[in-house]
Amino acid sequence: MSHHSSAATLSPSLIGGLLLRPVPLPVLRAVARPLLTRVVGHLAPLLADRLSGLAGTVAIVPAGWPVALLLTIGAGGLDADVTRAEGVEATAVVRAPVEVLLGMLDGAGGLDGDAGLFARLLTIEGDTGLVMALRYALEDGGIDASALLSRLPGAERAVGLVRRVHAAATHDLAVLQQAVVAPLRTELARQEARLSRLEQDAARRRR
Amino acid sequence: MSRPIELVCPAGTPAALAAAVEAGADAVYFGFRDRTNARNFPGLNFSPKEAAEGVALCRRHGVRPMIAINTYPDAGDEALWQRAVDIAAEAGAHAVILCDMGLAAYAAKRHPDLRLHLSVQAAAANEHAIRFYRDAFGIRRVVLPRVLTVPQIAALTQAVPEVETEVFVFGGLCVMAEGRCSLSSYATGQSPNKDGVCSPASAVRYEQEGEVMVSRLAGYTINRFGPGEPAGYPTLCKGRFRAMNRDGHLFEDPTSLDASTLVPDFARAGVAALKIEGRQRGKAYVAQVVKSLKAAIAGTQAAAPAAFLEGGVATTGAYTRAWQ
Repeated sequence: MSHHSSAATLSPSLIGGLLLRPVPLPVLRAVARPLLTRVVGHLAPLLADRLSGLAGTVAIVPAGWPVALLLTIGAGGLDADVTRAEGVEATAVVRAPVEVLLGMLDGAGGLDGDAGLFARLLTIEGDTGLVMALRYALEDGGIDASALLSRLPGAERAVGLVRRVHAAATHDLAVLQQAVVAPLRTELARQEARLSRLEQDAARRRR
Repeated sequence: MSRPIELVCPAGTPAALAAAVEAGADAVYFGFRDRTNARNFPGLNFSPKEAAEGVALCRRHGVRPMIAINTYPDAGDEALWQRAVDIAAEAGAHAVILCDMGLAAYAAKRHPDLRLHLSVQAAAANEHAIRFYRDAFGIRRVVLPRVLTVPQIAALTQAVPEVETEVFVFGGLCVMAEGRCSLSSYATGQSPNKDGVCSPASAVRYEQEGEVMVSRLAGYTINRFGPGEPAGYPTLCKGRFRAMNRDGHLFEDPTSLDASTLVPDFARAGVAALKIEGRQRGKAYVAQVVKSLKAAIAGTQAAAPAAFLEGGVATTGAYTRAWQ
């Protein structure tokens, strides 16, 4: 069995995911299904051409979240659902922090998917070809985070608020993270200095 | 005064093409959704209609559209490849990028006004080969293999002045004699040169073992990336293997080409065009790399975004060193 390590850093979305944990899956599904139906209704015709002939389910798991988004591609078109992230089974599973996933939907100024993989910001397991095809289709369909959110009721006002709260929370969490890791940084610097001394000693002995 | 060096940019989708044009590309190259080009991946590439629209978009912005038909036809069945040349000519492409001699002969005879470029897939690396392609098929430009040094490029450019030279400046680094490498074929059963797929995504698997990421190609383990270690594609030429009780990258490390600091050297060598690899990459890569390379050509900036580099490492490849 594989063990998963998505690069989860302390971020507002990670905290948000933790807050979702006590919510029962049926409740989450009941809330998410109507919204997903709206978004899929918008996406399906834009993606159909580039996904034609492909079939399978891609699970997208935001780091630290208890739920995964399931996108099923097939002859019947596109379908979306949510399921429990723990032990999720799909043709391919993509894991990344929400900020990375949204960054990849930010178009020309956003995050390159391959660069995210190189930097270990995201992981892909299973059918890499299906994930790549989905990425090409989303990008060529002009699907970005704003376009997706605009399909949701009341999204415009909510997005502005979420962005402001997210920016403030990101700053506060960065301060918190600095405070938490400060002792570790000190210890790391001590270890590095010790390693450097040992390397110099070894080099002198070799001479 | 000689013409400014041209930046030839990749496009895997119409959206990426638009991003390249927007970012200031001088030329854009792309391929059809089939085996006739060397990036034949699911969900990627252009239908004939999209190609015609892409050509029209380029023309409206003064950008030169080039269509890559750079794989080798099946023995006795070249219809798909010839049809691709016909579609490119009908669409009004500035040039087609070919590697097969038979296809070059077909294009030269059937479409005498169509500009022909010789793909890197032809691996033409000496003046006799380049002169032959010029004399036989009227090739106007050769894309040089990524195994030559800058002085060798300068010598070749001077030796055959009637043929323009184009060199790769950024992106994936193929360290083999392109068009003749079958490493990926042995592992996956699909050929880079005939099917247009080196290390096809369908054969690629990444698996997490705790903090270690294992990359596999068609079931073969190609690399194990330690915790936090920058990763790369599972291509056999950049795999980490054990030989003589030592682990190491036998051919090349996971790394990308970044020769942006050599732009002035390429200009002095008489190179006509610089090519960015990466038709399989997204809009973000295309837009940001094109902008930084345009700045490098203008002499205002030389650094391309490091985040786009495979393994997080840049190399100037064979341009500045002696391996070949």
